[in-house]
Amino acid sequence: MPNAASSEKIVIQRQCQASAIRMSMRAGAVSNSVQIALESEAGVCYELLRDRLAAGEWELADEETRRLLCELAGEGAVKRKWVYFSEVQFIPVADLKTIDRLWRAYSKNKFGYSIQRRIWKAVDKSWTAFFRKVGWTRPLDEKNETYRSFPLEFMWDLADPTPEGHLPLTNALRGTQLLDKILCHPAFDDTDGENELNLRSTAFNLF
Amino acid sequence: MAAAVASTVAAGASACFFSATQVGFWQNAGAHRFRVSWDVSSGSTHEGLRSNEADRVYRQGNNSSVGFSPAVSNSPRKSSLKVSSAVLGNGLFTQTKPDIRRIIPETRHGIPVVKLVYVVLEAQYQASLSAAVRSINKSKKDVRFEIVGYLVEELRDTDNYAMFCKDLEDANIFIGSLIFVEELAQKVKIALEKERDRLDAVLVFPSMPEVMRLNKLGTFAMSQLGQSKSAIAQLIRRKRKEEGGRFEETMLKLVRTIPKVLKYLPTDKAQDATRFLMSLQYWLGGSPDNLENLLVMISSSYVPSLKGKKLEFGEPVVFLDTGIWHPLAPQMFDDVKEYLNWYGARRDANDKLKNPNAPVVGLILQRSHIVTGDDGHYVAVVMELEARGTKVVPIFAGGLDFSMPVERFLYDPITRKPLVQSVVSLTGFALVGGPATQDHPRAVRALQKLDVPYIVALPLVFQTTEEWLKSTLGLHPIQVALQVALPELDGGLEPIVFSGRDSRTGKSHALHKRVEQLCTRAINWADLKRKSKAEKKLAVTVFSFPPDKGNVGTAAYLNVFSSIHSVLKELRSDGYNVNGLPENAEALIEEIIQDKEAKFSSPNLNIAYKMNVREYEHLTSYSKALEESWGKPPGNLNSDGQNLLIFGKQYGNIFIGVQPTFGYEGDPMRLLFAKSASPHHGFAAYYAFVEKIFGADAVLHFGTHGSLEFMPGKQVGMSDACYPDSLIGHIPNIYYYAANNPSEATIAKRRSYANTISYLTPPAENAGLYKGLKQLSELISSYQSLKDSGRGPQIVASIISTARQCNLDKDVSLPDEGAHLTSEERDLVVGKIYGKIMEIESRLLPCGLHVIGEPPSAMEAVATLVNIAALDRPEEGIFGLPGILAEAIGREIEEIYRSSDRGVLDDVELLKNINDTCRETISAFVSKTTNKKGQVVDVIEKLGALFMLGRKDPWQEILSKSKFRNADQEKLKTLFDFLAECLRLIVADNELGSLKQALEGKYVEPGPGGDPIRNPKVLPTGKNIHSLDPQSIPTMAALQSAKIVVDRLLERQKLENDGKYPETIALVLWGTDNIKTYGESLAQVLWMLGVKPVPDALGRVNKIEPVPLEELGRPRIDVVVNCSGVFRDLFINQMNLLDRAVKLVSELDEPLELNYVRKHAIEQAASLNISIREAATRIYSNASGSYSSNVNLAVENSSWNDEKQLQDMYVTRKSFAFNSDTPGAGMSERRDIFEAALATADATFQNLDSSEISLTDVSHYFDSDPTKLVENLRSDKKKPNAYIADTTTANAQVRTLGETVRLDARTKLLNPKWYEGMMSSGYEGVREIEKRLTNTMGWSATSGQVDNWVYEEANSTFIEDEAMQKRLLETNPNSFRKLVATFLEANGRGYWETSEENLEKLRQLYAEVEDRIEGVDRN
Repeated sequence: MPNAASSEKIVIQRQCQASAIRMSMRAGAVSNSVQIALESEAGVCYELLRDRLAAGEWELADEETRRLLCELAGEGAVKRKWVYFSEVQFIPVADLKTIDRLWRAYSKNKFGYSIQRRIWKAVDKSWTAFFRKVGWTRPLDEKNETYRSFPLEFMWDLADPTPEGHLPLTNALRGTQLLDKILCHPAFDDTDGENELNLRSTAFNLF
Repeated sequence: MAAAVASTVAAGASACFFSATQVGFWQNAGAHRFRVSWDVSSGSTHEGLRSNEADRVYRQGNNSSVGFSPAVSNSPRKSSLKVSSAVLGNGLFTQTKPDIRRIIPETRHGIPVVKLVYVVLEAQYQASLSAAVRSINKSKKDVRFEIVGYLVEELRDTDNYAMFCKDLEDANIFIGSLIFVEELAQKVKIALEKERDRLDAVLVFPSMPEVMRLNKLGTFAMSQLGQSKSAIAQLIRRKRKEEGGRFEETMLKLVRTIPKVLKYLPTDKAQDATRFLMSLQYWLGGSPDNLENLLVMISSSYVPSLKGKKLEFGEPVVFLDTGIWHPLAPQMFDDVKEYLNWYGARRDANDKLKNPNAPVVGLILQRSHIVTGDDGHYVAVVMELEARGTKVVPIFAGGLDFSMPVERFLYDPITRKPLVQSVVSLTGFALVGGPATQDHPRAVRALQKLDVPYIVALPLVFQTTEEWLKSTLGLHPIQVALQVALPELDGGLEPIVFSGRDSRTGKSHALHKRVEQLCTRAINWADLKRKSKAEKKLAVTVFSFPPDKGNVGTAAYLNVFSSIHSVLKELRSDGYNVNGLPENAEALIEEIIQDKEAKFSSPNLNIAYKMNVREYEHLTSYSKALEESWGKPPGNLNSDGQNLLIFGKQYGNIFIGVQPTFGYEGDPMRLLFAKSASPHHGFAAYYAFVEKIFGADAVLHFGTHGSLEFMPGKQVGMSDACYPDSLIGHIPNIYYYAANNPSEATIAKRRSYANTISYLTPPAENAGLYKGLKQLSELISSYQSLKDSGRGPQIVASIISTARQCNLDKDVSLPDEGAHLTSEERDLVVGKIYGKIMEIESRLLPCGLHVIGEPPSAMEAVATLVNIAALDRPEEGIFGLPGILAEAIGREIEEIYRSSDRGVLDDVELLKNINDTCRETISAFVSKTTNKKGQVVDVIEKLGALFMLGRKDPWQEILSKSKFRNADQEKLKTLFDFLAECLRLIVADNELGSLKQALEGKYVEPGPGGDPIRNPKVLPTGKNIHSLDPQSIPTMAALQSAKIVVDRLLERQKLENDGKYPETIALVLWGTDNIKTYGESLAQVLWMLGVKPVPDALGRVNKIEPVPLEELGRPRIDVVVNCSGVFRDLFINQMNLLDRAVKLVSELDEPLELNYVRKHAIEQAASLNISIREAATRIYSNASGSYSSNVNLAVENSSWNDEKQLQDMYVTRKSFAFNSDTPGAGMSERRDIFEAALATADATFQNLDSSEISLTDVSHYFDSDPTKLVENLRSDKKKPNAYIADTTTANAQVRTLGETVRLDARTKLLNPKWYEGMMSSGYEGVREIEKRLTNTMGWSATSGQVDNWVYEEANSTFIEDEAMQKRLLETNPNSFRKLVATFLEANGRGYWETSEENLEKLRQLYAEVEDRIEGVDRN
């Protein structure tokens, strides 16, 4: 994995109790040969997320991702159950990278924040166009689009026609600033060119 | 029911991330997509039904089963996109079903189930109530709750209503809140009354009085309370007596004082009343906990099955009533200082936000959204602003008076200076008062003090997100009335819909692009306050209608370039950078219109910028959408084939630009489209340039009016896909608008977010007499002195022949020359001519064009004051001067008017005497109160001084010498005090001042638009124009006036139609006209039908009842109503009311010869094979987002082939009906019934509402005239009579169209006073003259009611007169060319027969002027 071990100073790799349940045995799970370092500066455990992803439990993984974001953003966010946009700065680079790596690895580079960031930048940071691309909105009539209803109208599936970047979901109920700050997080500063090259090779490893 | 429960559980279990939807797809894990579709077929259930009920409830168009049981089909995804024109679902505004709010508990033996039914306006209670009930069902051992909730609007649907009634049958508890929509309140009341005795408890929180009276808690009841002696009861009763509308306000006040009241209520004696008050507190506390406790308290006290069980419940958790809230803060703040301290210490804030100079925006929130936890949309706005480096102060109030928190929290605690640079209300409500009552003066005072731009944004209340997105109307009409029209009276700007509503959870959610639009605009307004004048960039935008060089800078009543010059000079001296501004207005025109370099023949305007296609597409995100109408950019409009061209010129930081035109005004094919085309690429490029390249801090649209706000989109409540919103982008919009045009100003305000600043129409003068008319008047006065001498017959003979020369023979029936007349007959004919002459002479006309910053002198205001003085204002205790004078000689003015109209010479003379005396006294009064320069100096004080000295009042000197010396002094004094105030206001100059305020980011005082004569409150100009509360019209006074006009109209028609009543009248409703008259023409329609409006308990007009035939004394007249697009946008509720009236009348069981509506509807139903109710479709307008019949554009641009084409345009564009049975569907095309109804018309009719806009002043009047169209449609090809009502003067008249066109021609186009006045405005004056001729020809085209002599006289005035012709040519060659062309066109189309000599001269002139123009260009 690029950039993984070298740059970060403190890497806490906590062993979680929950890790007893491994991802490998589930039906539909991706091969367990993937090795993703669960690095965390914040001392947060990513095993549950990894297990959910590995098991192809996209909806649960998505839920866990949001929970993790709250945990990373701080006490206020945990209590509130959602992240205020300016709290994103408190999320360590290593942690956000880990989350993103996990999503990318288990989705064959289809899902993840850095994927979303690439799509977003490709449409000139237009949220409307981005939402359309990742399928968070759907056409309503000739002129209008509307948000998909959660969770029923989302696609909890890796296979097509689920669009690239569809997951993880970030709440649009409170506007776009939170997602804006996530996608602009320094964790992804160096991923723009890398998505295409390095991660494709990661994806290759999956099989 | 099982399915319903399942869906409820699913909805309940999911936190809503994205708004749910009714129509659309959902997807399971597999690849199959299912579409949930609405059954669009109309299984109509009501055909053949008849009802005589006065106020019919809405009926739905189709019938689906009760509950949420959508049809599931496998239609592929694409097909569902085509839903635009079909009536959706029930045709109502909302398709949501109450069943999604139903929770049915698992029942266990022995545990009682309490059933709660609620009806609320506020969807934010839904989630909170569901949570409360779930929590009870989970945690309480002894009780289970079943709950079902209804949003008020859902009760319109008959199925929902039936389910509601059924739900009440076995309910234990009912809760209602904010039920303020009259028709729905009635439905709730009827259903609730039936079950009230059986119900264990009924709680109705602030609502219409008739529903509130149904409250019941044990012995407590509101009706009883009314009789009791308790202080609260007394208060409520007294208040209710005073004013129905204050009722709920009192309730709210009561709640605020509850804690105090509770202490003094002995619980044992007044337990029930105490519980009611506590309930209110729980309710307003709104959180799931509070609601849980409310339900437990009520059920344990009043539900019999819970007797003896001890259920625990907590005290109401009381939140701050008002305060400051921030999503990150641990608590609400009661103190600004504490808030600012907390804010300053925020760990998350970045440097930008910490900067002490960061902009600060105040937000106004509703507490109920905060306490119920439905605050996602508020959070979105707070985050968006903070992310943009803007600080926020979000304040809230629990009641509906937000002025208090504004005063308390938006000022710096130390300096006491305003803390914010702009304020955004996210409540949608007026600042003071809620759905029922407002206190605008208080709101305005609070906002004036704060002095920052005040934006009132809108959350969706009555509709779900998808319903709003799909609606062509846009925002629900009731919300428009409550949350758009009312906040405007406070000076509220920019009704931007920023949040949607989830159809399942009822929760609000941000609309991301709307939030961005709102916040950016709020910050840009705030920046106007922060930036220095020297750095501010302003884009002055002028119009060009029709697109011709002679028309650049066109605006009603305004000398645009002189005004711009005057504005820019003022700005320059104020510190703005206006480098290079030419010396005078002429030079300015020259620089903008003449392009020194370009070679493009048609526009020939100065090119300010060339935008290449790549740049254009990059800057204009919606450019792709324009390609449907206009193809690939750059296209051929405002384009050189490679680039898009921006016309205009920059002076320092000021850009003066020419707004492109619609682009299709010259294209008959496009004019024939029912819906208007999108803006073209050049149009979009203009605004992209202004915002993104020039970088304007504000745009100033200069004068009435442009085309931006008339671009396609929703009527009100723009979405991302609406062009006015996309075009204006993020730029604050300031718009100079004529004070007399509040309706179109309101369109600009709502659709293009304009802060409209009113300007005065030019000072009016009496038309006076000239040429032959003057001669006639002299002859008449010699007749009066000599009539008893032997010369009488001789003078009469000259009078008659002169009258003939003046073409008065069509207005007055003149005896044959040489016929012998008795002296009575002589008097009568002279009397009639005299009356006509007086009518012409006294007609008011605006002289010249107004220049911003140049108010009229006092003496110029005399004619206006005379007309102000002529009206009785009973509500203010002011009597009109003519009436006072008539009284002084023992006569009644009305009687003198009538007898003068009949031509009784003595009374014509008396009336003239009265009028002259009015003018003299008022002139004397004005001259006494002005200084040597002709300006008014403190009228009131000066007059006061006069009284002190005991000198004669100025008017008294005149009166004492006249026969009116006995006039009532008291009345005179009251009147002249009033006139003094009016005079002061007329000459006040706030137009420049208000513009500067707006540019500095200050609050601009709001004021009504309208006619200063009827409503002097319009003055002084320079106000942010608003219209009125749409639910307040028609007023009873308007109904009275309407009756008079309708009766006169019917009388006149009978006279000209063998004593027969017209069976159908085709008429037009205008927005401005109805605003100015408080709904007179609206009331006219009702009175023709024989229906009268009935106000509800709050004084809002939304019911009607038929006037019995015996009382009416005549048949009910059928109508075909053509509402202007502006009327449609402003008064959709009134269209609804009218449609209900027509349908009601069509279903009355009456003889057909006394009910023409029914007669025709039956015939049409048979021939079109539809129901009678459907056939009774009479209320038409354009498709949503489209305006006008385009006949005006075709005529102005001479781009039509024949009259048939004009008529096709009219029918195609105007055949969109409003149906009160499917109001949510908006306008739907009903061309078949439209034509069938028009074919029965015997008369066409329009109203003239103010003196300065008459038939040929604007193109709108002929644009909406269907006279020849009706002639064509009628099976007998008979031309209908055409009438115009003129209510501009105290003596209202109904004239034929022909008479009115003649009057207009005589007083304007042909009147030296008028055209010389115009010529004095130079360039723009010539255009005004040309416009009158073009509009006159428009009348020939649509009605054929223009006499040959009008063209003939116009030709001799402007063409034959060499000197005049030269002046016109020199001053504005382009407009002169158009004038000549119009003469030739009038002849070519057969409207004007004239000598070959005249025509030859015109042709020659045309060739000359062409050469001349090209020569000019070549130089």
